Amino acid sequence: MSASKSRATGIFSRRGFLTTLLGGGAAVALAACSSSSPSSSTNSAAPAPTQPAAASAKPTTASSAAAAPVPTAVAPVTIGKGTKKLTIWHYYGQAQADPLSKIIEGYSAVDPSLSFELTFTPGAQLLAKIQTAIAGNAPPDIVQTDLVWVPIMIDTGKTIALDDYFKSENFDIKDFFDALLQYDQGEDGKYYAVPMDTNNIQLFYNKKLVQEAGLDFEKSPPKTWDDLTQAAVKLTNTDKRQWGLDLGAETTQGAQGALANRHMCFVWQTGSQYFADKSGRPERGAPVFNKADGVAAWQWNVDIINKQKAVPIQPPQNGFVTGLEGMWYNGPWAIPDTIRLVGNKFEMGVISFPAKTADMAGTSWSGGEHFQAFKGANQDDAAKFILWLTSPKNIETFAENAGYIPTRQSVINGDSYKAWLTKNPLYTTYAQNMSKVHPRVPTRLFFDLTIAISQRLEEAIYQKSTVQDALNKAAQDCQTVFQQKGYQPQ
Amino acid sequence: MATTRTADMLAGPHRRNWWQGDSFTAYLFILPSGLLIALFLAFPVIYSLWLSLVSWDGMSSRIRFVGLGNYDLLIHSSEFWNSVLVTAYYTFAAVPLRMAVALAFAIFLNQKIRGLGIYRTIYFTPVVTSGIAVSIIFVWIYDPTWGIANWVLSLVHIPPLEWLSSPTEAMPALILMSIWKNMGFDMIIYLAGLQGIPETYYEAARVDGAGPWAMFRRITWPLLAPTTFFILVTGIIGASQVFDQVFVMTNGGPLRTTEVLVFLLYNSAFKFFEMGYASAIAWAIFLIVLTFTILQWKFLPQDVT
Repeated sequence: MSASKSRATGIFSRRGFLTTLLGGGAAVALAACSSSSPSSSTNSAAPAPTQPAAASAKPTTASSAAAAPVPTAVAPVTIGKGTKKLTIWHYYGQAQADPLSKIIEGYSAVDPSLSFELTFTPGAQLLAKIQTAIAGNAPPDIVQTDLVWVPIMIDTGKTIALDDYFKSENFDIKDFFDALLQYDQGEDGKYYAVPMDTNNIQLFYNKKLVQEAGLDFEKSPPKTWDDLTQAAVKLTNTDKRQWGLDLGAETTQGAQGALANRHMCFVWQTGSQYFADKSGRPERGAPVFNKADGVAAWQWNVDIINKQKAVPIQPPQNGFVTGLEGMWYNGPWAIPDTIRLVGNKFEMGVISFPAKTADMAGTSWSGGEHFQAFKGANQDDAAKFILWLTSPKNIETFAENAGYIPTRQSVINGDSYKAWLTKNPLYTTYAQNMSKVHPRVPTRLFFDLTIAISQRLEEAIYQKSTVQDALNKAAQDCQTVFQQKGYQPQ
Repeated sequence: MATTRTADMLAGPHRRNWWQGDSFTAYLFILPSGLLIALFLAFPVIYSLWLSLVSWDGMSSRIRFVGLGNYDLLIHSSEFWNSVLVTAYYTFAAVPLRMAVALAFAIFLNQKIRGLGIYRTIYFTPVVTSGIAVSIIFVWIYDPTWGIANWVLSLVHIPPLEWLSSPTEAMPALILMSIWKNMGFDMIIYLAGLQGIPETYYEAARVDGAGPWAMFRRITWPLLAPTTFFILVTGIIGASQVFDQVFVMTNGGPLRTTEVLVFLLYNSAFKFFEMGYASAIAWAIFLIVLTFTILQWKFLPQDVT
């Protein structure tokens, strides 16, 4: 029996096949053409043309809903003509990599014998790549990492302490914000990394929607959680599929530890601590986020989603830039691309994120990228380069061009940067609130703890448990992590 | 010459050296492949077995032998058993559904129709498309506000779903995506199987008055047993190790309802830096998949009966 004959006369005849196909097509056509009642007009509306995703340079720890179209791994970029090459691994998107490259070009005036090879890897993959490289005894000379990775790197024992170079390079480490330095300091008190850029989380708002809702954030911005709830409710319009507030994905679907990061901010906004130790190092103090303030902080989150229904469980993709969200909890890294994508549709503003009491408004966690050097033949050159890279002038240049906030107090308080802020007012709120930032669990247990806590916080969001129960379980999970990792349970 | 031959004969049977035999030549030919397999397959497997017996973060020099400690932790871990159940849910829902859809399409394509090659290409294209790219697209498709999925539902007056942000809908969403992505592969295999069924069986059945369903039940399905067995075994092995779409679309959430075993392994290795524990999970996956494969070999029909 030939294959063609067997194929030609299977179970269904040609007529039967064509009949089925046409019948199915007719059914779909009928369904598509059926008229819809006015009450379901929202559901039957065709999807709006898709917008390109708003870019973000925070691929690992951002709580924003918009996906980041970071460039895929590209060929390494070589800067400088020196014969001795230092390798730098980073995850900066194009908006940050370009200003960084321009700054590094200036190092040829300092040491023309050096050249630099910059290799980009998306943030989510870079940590695994570093881990593999360390295990294979082939780490790069210098690496740019998220600040929460620094304690993990320090713990490997493979990065170098930079203190020995402070004096020779005339470097004032204390000029950096203390909340950032807590990540960089090892147990021996030495500094193993230096902050390059930083950020915090405040509130974007759509001026047009705010005005249409009868609000005026310029004159009387929301300063407390109650104010924020009222504003979010006014800005929510289910008929238009419009949400009052986007806090980021309410599930661990986004960054896994994002809910814990947010809960920390809210707890600090009450004036309380997350862990008993003042520095926030969990291995030194018990979890206290399950006390009254911590419960109140998360209860607000649960209620605005489930009771007031002003925050979506899953924010729409690009909701803010397409005018579907009145307010967006986000950081300065998103400003350049948000402005580009918003275009002329509306004007955006930034205000301090409200707190439990007005005086605590703007309290946030600190984010950012730090540079560190690995032990090796090039460690001296690498250390000196890092200290040069994070000099006040370079810090300011990078911040102004990359959409971040300077990590040095002298820069933020300097006249030059203040003059820049007057021309770029959207960054002002972030710069002003740097005095209110807290470090997020500066420990090598960062992922263990934030993911464990987030999974419990998620249970409260989905109302699978009360907020108090969820936080009690989270605290217990933290103690389990301490035990398993060899820390003394508190 | 005669003297040499006589001398050889008197010397007894000629002993060839080990490098002169046919076997040696054969080993030389397979040596390059063997080295590659040893380096990239055998060594990592053995190394991971050793890793499963230690506690190590994968970076520092602190390596501590713990014996079966990682396996003990695993057995007593509620997260592990949750992942086993989630993986089982995904596997035993996605694989049979995918096979059913693939078989249906294969039967439809087993016709002499114009453009058959084009249809086959269309249905096979998702198989060769990057899993990550497909997952990112499906995140958009499943967007509760903008997504095409809810728009399609709205056409038939079904209320919008939360999809990936719903604990009950997230896994079905992943399964649907998996069926769309991988159905083409099963379809091609089934198509080959269908084309191997002699037409005389169907002719005889028609003569006896059998309808399409009877022919399917009595002829097609039994004769596809070897093909079905192959697809089922390979499908279960593949589905048990699903990772890409979970990593991109759900991160194991919400509420751990999509936290499959390989995702748990990934978190353990690259987020919590527990290489030993992650390796133990890898071996647990291997043992579970091996057990299921043996059970299938034992109890499922592999030949036409």
